[in-house]
Amino acid sequence: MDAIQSSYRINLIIFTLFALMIYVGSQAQIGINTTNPKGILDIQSSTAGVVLPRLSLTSTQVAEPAVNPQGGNIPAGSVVYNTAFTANGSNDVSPGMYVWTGSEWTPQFDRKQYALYESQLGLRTEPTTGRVAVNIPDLTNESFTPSFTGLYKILISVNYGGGNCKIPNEGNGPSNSDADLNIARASGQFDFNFDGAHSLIPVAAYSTNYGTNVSPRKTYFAIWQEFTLTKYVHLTAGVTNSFNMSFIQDDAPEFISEGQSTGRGYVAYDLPCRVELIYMGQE
Amino acid sequence: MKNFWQTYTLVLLLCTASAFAQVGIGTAYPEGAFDVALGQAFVYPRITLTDLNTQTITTPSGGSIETGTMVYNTKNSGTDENAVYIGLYLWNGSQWIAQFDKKDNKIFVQNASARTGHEVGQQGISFDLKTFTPKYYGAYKISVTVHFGAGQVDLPLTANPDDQYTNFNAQEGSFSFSFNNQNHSIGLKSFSGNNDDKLFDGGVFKVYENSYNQAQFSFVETTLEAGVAYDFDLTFDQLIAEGFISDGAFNTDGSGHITLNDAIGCTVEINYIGN
Repeated sequence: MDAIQSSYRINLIIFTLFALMIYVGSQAQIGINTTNPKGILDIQSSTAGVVLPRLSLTSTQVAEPAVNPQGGNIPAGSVVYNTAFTANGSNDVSPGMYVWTGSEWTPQFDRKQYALYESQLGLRTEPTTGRVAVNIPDLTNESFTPSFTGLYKILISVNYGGGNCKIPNEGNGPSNSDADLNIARASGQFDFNFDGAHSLIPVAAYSTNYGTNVSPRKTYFAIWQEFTLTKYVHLTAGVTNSFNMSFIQDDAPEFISEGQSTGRGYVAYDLPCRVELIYMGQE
Repeated sequence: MKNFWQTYTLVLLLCTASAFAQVGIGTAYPEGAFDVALGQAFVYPRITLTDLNTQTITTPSGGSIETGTMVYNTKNSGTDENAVYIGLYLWNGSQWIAQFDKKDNKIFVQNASARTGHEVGQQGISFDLKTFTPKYYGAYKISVTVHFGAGQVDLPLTANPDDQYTNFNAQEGSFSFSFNNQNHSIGLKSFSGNNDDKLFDGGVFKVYENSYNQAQFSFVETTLEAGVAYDFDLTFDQLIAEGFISDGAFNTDGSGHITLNDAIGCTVEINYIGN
């Protein structure tokens, strides 16, 4: 048997295989592993999937490397499996199925990302000379790397309560007030620094203390209040962001030991301060 | 038969089939039942669906389509819960299921501080934009976060030094949020005070104001329509505030605060939550 005959024979085998496996009806449907295709292309298999063209896209706005073999633009409805991950800050793509809508590639898969950071509980705060910010443990120099380019929601929850305020001063001298009740406000400011962008959250809470002649004498402190701040920010896939939460306690002359000792304020007394990051989609 | 031979020639050029009945286009070694390995996309049938429940297309023999049938829908259609949008849809046996990610989230942030006054009536809170246009038909959660801090209270009574060293009062009002012809309101109070106790800070009189409180209320609009511009408005009505300077009149020290407390302003967040 010569080479030509051999080649002919192989072609014949291939033809036979096609004839067996691919049924092309008068409506030009194709069945793979079926002679009765139920759609324009009907693929029957219990062991293998459909492998889409694996292309490396560069941007949601650029059709190439997909090309129309007839020339011109690729048609809407063109589908590829994108293998590339880009991190340019806009129109980025990540691996998955994309469809061309006529003007851009749109992802055909669910994109979710969520991260939660919580502070330690039971922090005490005191005024510092020069108003030095104190970092909140476990929310200090944290980092977050977005999976996708687009809109992220940052949900910041902080809480703060005052310490023990002073017992009212009794007596009728010029430096006395003879009050039975001291109500004082403790205050401070959280500073959420996300890659250099500061979000300041001023907080305040009241504490009370009765005079020693009031019986039973009650003192109320750590009446904390929670404040939340919601921001939407644009982030870039793969680019790590660092963030930090700190707190500055205001001067507190109305509080025991001028805001030191039992006069210190409370952060995360019952509930941690929290930072949540959630992917919200493209802008 | 001519059709057959034409197709056969084309298939012979493009396809290599192994004995296990896979088909490769542009590859001699298909790695799935059907493997398209050219630098070209796979073009799905472009169909104009009318809604999620109507098959629109049939099998080649005119029957009901199979589960797993996939098409590319070319147009947005419909204004109700069965609306379809541009993108890939898969028939699950009873409905078309969108294969793309349906996300629609917006936040609107107060852009200017405001003082309040009891005689002003409904006072507007300003935003850059007070219109939301949904991308999809369906349910949206609307979360409104508001802040209110009371103004300055009157001085403690000093006629008799034993009477008062502190004076604390609450100021209040209610926020109204209108959206889609519905009004949602929430009351909010805040304490202000002063303290004339001589024991601290060398007897410096302490004035506490704008100790703002924050509140959030949410509601769900189940049937917002895609592409329709919905206007919203957020207003505040402060009540008369006895015990405050000028009874809490507008533009006095007794006026309430809806200020941008640095990063904290009123916000309106709107999130698509599904059909």
